[in-house]
This record gives sequence, C-alpha cells and structure tokens, in this order.
Amino acid sequence: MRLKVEGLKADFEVEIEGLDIEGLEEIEGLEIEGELILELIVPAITKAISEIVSKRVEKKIELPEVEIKELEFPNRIREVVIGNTEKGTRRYSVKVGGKGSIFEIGYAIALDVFDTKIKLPKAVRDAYGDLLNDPIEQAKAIEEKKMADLIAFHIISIDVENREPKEAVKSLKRLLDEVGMPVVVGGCGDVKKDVALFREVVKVCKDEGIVLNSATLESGEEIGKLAKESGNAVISWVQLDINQQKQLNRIIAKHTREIIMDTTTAGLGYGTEYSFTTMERIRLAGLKGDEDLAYPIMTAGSNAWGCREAWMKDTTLDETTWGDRAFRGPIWEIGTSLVSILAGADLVLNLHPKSAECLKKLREEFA
Amino acid sequence: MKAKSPLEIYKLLPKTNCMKCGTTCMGFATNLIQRKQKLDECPYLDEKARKKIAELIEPNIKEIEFDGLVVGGEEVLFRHELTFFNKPPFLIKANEQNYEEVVKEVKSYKKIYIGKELKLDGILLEFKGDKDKFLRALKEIDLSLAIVAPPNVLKSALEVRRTAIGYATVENYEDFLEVAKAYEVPVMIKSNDLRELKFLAEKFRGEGVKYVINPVLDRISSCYDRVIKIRVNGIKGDRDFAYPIMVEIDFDDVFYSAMASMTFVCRYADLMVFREVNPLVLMPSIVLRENIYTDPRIPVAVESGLYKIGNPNGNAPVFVTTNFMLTYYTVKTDLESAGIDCYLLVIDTGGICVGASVASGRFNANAVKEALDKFKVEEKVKHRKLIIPGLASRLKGAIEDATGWEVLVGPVDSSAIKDWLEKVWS
Repeated sequence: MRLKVEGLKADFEVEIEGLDIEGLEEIEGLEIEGELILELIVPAITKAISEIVSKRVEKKIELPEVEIKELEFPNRIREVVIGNTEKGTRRYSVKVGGKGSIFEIGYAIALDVFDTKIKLPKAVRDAYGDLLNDPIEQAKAIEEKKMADLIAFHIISIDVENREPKEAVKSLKRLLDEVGMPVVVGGCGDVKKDVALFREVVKVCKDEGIVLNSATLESGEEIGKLAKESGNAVISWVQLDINQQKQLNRIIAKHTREIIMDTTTAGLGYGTEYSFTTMERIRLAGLKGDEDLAYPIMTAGSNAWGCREAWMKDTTLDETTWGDRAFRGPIWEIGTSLVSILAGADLVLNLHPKSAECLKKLREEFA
Repeated sequence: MKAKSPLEIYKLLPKTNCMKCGTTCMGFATNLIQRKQKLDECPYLDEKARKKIAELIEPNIKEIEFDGLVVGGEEVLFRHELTFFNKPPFLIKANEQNYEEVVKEVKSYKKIYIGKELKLDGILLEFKGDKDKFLRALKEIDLSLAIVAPPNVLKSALEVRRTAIGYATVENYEDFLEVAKAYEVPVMIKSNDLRELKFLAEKFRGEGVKYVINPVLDRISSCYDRVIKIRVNGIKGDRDFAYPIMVEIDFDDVFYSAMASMTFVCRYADLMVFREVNPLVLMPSIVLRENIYTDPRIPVAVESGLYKIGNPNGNAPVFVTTNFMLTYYTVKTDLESAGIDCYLLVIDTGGICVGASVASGRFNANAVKEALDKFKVEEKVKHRKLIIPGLASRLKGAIEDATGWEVLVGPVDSSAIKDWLEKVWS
C-alpha cells in the first residue's frame, strides 16, 4: 500500500510492503518535527496504522450475503473447430463458439493478409514494413511472433488484377505449405468471382478445416456444398438482417453445420448502433433456442479502416484535434472489434498487429 | 417500470382529454410508459394519483440528478428491448491544484458528429489537501461536478455547492450517511467487493439516501463481471442494486483506457470518469456513446430530397448520396467546409449507408431516377450530370441508362471531393 503523510514540509510518500489495508489513504494529524529521516517516521506511521487497524477490528462489520441471479439461457452456441490437425496439415486448431451467455467473453483473433498489393493505411504500412512485399513472409512473421491465432488470407487478385482463380490459389497453396496456422480464406466481395474462386480453393485445401469467407444468399447453396465436400467451414454473410441471416444459415446447413456468421460489422461510429444491436439480437436468439442462429459470430474489425477517424491525418473541421494516428487507427479498430466482442463475437479479423496485440491481452484477462 | 400497459396509468388520469399535455389521456398514458412525456405535463393530477403513477412508471434503475447531471434511469439490459435513456455523463478528474487548466480543456473539447457537437459533461473534483483552495474551486467551476473528499471536508464543501459526494466505503460510510442526509445529496459508494457494495447500498437505501455504485475499475475483466452482476440483478428486482453504476478510468496505457471506456459505454456505465482530456480515448468513446444511446425506435435517417449547399446556380454540380444520417451529414459538412456551391440529392435508402445499400440493392438506378423526378432536379440545373459516390461506382451504367444523365463517379470518401472536383468540374 501507499501511505501519504501530511504535516511535513516536503510532500512525502512511503511504500510499505506486505501491508494490505484498503480504504486507508491518509493519516491526519500526524505531525513529525525535525528532518525527514525514515527511521524517525516509520515507527510513528506504524503506531498510527495499528491504532486505525485496531479501531476497525472493533467495528467488525457483518457483510450481507449477495444472492446473484444470472441471466440464464436454455441453449448453447455451437462450436466450430478451425484448422484440421489430423486429416489436414494445420499445426493446431482453434475452437470458436460454445458460449452459454450473452455476457461470456471469448474470441479467436485473425490478422488480415492480402494476396496482392493493396492500398493500406499508413499505420499498417509502418507496422509491417517490408513484410508487405510478400504475403507469405508476412504470414510467416505473424506465425513466428504469435501475433494472432489465425491468418485471414484475402485473395483479391482475382478482382484487382483479374487473375484467374486457378492461378490465384497458388499463393494459398504456398501459404498452407509454409505456415501452420488455421486459415480463413476470403474472396474479393464479388459473388460470381468468389464462387469461381472457392471452386479452386477447395482443391488445394482438402480437409484443412479452413473457413471459406464468405457465402451469401446467392452463393450459399454452392459454397455450403463445396465446404462440406472439402471438409472445410464456411462464413455465412448477410447485411444486418436477422431473417435473411436465418435463411442463409438454413441453406448452408443443408450441407454443413460448420458455419460462422458474419452479421456485418460497421466501423465505429458509422452504423455501430445497427451492427451492435443486430449482432446482439442474433446471439440472444441463438441462446434462447433458435438453432438456425446458434452459430459462432465473426466480426471484421478491420472495417474500422474505412472510417476517416482511423486513417486521416487529423480533422479538417473546427473541433478538437484527433490525436496521433499511429495510436488512433488501432484504437478505432480495437473499438470496432470490441463492440462486437461485447455483443458476442467469437472470431475477430484485424488489420493492424497492434489491435490484435491489445485484444489478445484483454482476452487473457477474461480467460 | 412496473406498469405493463397504458391502461394501468389511464385509470388514474383525469380522463377528460383536455389536451393540455398535447394529447388525449390514453395518448399521455402510452407516452408515459414509453417515457416520451413527463408526469408533470398533466396539470390536473391530485397528489394521490400522482404518487401512484410515479411509482408505476419509476424506471427499473433509479434516475439520479445532481448539479445539472442526470444519471441512470434505465429500463432494459439490451437497447432493442426499448432504448437506453440517459447517456452516461463523461467527467474528467481535477483537483484544487489543477482545476483551472482542466476546466479549460473540458470546456474546449468538441467532436463534430452527424451535425452535432459532442461535448464533455463536467468534472470529478478530488480533494488533495488544501481546503481553502478546494472550496474556492467549488465556487469557481462553472461546469457540473461531483466531489471526492474526506468526510471532514464535505460539510463545508456542500455549503458551497450541493452535489454528489464520495467515496463512501465500509470504513467511513457513517460519516457520509450523516452528511448526505443533512444536505440531501447523493453518495458515490465504492468497493471492489459486491458484498461490501450490498452492505453500503442497504445502509443508504434504508435511510432514503440515493447513491451511485462504483465497483472499482481495477481490471476490465473483473470490473466487467461486477458491473454485469449489479445491473442484471438491479433490473431483475434487487432493490439495492437498482441504482446507477459509475466507472473511473485511470490507467497509464492509452489502448487499455480506450478498451475500458468502450466496454463500459456498451455495458451499463451510467456515469464515467476519465483521468484526463485525451482525444485518443475520448473520441471513440463519445462517438460510441452517441450510437449506443440512439433510440432504436426512431430511424437514423434524414428526409430524402434535394438539398442546397451554399448558393448553387444552374451550373452547380449535383451530388447523389443516401439518407443515412451519418452519410448525409458527413458529405454535407465536407462540401460546406470545401466551399462548394452545389446540390445534394439525397435518395431514400432506408437509412442505410452507401456501401451497404449498394450491396443490398436499395441504392439502385431506379431509386436515383425517382428522386431526380420527384425533386425536379432538371429544373434546377442546366447540365445533365450526376456525381455518385465512389462506393456506388458499379451503378454508373445502370443509372445512365435509367436517367439519361451522364454519371461521374466521385471519390470513395467525401473528404476528397474538393481535389476531385477541381479536376473534373469546370
């Protein structure tokens, strides 16, 4: 504990080890004359403390028993295992889901890696440096430094470079050969191109237990089937709509129940009220027994980087300065992710290593 | 709230439909239940009925007022079940030594968001040992505040200014109880032990003293556990815990502070105290607070229409955007601050932003055509050019086919409009 002694000419604080009394901050009226000699002061302090302690013992407070009611739910969220170590070549696997309460906090963390050059915010470029020249080297660094649990590999070259899917999945093959982490494989966001891509993806990752990111209402039927046949899981992505989310999950579940939902994550401040509440409602529905929604949830915290507060140098408006963007960017991403985590998210995708690091630290606390 | 149906309230109202409150008695009863009107708005209630109704509509979590701040008053655990009502005030710590500087910083902090100025709410004034200075600070600070001081300073402090006092603990609560009763002020009770908090709550509640519960933010995880337990039980009928919760964020690490703050904005803090005015922690928190306390019963949208920015003439560019409030205000603010005279055509996307409404199909060529016709844009400008958001680029062809207007694809983020426009618009 730290003890402050008043009445001395100089401000004076002493640390007393092994003393554990809460609520005691000051001893008033303790006056010591003469020089600031520790030997002189310590006995006086000890005496004062012992008086206070004995006073407290006399008081002897009877604390009441607290009867805590929990918010109880009849159902549990399904568990999905990402990364197959037996049939596949993954070094370890990661379990997501399995929660029994809306207030339970637990999540796996993936860091985004893009298969080709893409314009990235300065804070992210600074964090990775030259590693961004080679996605596989970047992934290897993430693995070596244990920066995340999974790699979220985004094959966007099929869009930005119009690369043929067959050609594009070669880098995925290399990734699987050189990195042992479980993987989430993403497309470019164009449904047609992504279906064509996933047809090739499943050929190079049979039984790896990766996650195909993602199936939509249009592609759910085929991607669900591809996932089942290849022994992989699938992300079910709907834009902030509970009924559509149910509908898509059902379509995919005809083939596989290795489903993780992306209920859509708005960057902090850009529709957070919608995405937080939609996610919360979907999780509550699952916990209350709606099996069509009782799947783990993925959140793309990286969406934060679309917000100007994350990447812009500073405000251009007449308002308080936003603060150093080297901190602000990751904080915006952490916040975006955290809001989802509180609403139940089980898997978090991040772009900046610092975001992953902070969220990892927080997770350890909750473990 | 105990009342389950407006009928329970209606029975106790005058039933004269005098419209003094602006609606019928049944309408008033409904609004009271939805907390859209206050009981005082009915001038014809006798004392007995007023008391009964007040009991029936009292929020599940007590609403406490001090020094211009309102804390607590919540009804639900999840905002979609109704809404959250009172944004947790953000207070910044200060003491009698540094208050002048801190007050200045608190006053000047400002974040502009969807056309609003988001501001901090006040000060938590801590006593550091100089009583005269402390009392002077209480007199001088013209912001809302709460006081943290030892019991022997409180009486003189409350003579200067009546507001919430703290922190009452198991050791000193008797002194606080005495002062709080004498001056009729709420007390901030503090412990990291739920049993101690319960003990304190019982003592204060038993004496009719209102309180705010500070479960001590030592680590996010353990504080989270206590906060959830207090709030869940408060909502479920534990009368000791049916009081506002406060958290005090006081960490060195800016990332950890931001995480702590955002955690408790989402989860049940009714009052928040920060160590300092640090935009890195405050900006995400103040924006998040705005979001979480948005009433889900009201769509976050602006009216679709043709809005004038500055003084547009017949050659002024026409920008198209969605009616999601944030999109609208962001684009509007950017156009204004760039000094561009133009028209902003806001189409109805159901209050959804550009990216999502393009993906879901709500932002489509027909919607643009309908808006062009409805708001008679061709009568306003001589040219036939539309500027659509960069995120809607894939609709260029379809909009050109549907409208016959030439479509220019603008930047993805409206902050880049100024530079972009200089290149394409003469």
